[in-house]
Amino acid sequence: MRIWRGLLGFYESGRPLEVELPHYQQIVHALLGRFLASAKPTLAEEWAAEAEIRMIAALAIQARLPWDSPPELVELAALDDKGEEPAAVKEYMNALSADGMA
Amino acid sequence: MKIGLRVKLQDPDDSTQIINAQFATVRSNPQLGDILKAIARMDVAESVALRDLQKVAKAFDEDNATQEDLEAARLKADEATETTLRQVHAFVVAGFKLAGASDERAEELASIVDIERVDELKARCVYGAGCLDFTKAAGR
Repeated sequence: MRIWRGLLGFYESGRPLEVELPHYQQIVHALLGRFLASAKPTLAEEWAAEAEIRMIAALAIQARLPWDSPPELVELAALDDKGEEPAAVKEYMNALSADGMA
Repeated sequence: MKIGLRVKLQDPDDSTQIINAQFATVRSNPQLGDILKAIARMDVAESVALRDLQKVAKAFDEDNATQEDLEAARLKADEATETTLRQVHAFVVAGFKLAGASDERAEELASIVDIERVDELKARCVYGAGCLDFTKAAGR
């Protein structure tokens, strides 16, 4: 199963060279933070990613969706805190009231 | 129908107002992955340009390069960094657009996202599910 999280595959053509960053580049890299992090994922990070895949697959199966459903679809099918109706229904109601339509 | 991850943003003009939006995932929109790969390539190119700049700077110190060589190398490195920044912005805009936002709306939403938190957007978009709440402090 493919690990989607983290940086696997991000630097397929090689990782950036270790160079001292001049002032401007230092500021930009500090702002972007982990966005450009080029270290390989640790074993713990890979484990967390795999566990997240299993969790989403389990939630998909629970919602009677295919096990490999995209995470946004699994989230859409998630029930509210009481487990009675999709949480998206409550969000819809909130959106209507914010819009002054309900 | 276009569905993405939920993103909550704070209205920059009125901090009491929440803006709800959707951001596409790489899993459902491989184009976003292509943009991330382009950013990675640009990041590598930037590091090469910076190494070249360091070499030219050293040569300049040893009187083996001119002021023009040094300026050209510095310009090339800065251009690489600016291209990376533009691509990061394009990634954020594309994420909102692929989740259904209009061009104009996607630009507006991208301008609200704090650049210091685009790494969270990337992490969620590449793999994770759930709601990304930018109204809360980072790391929560």
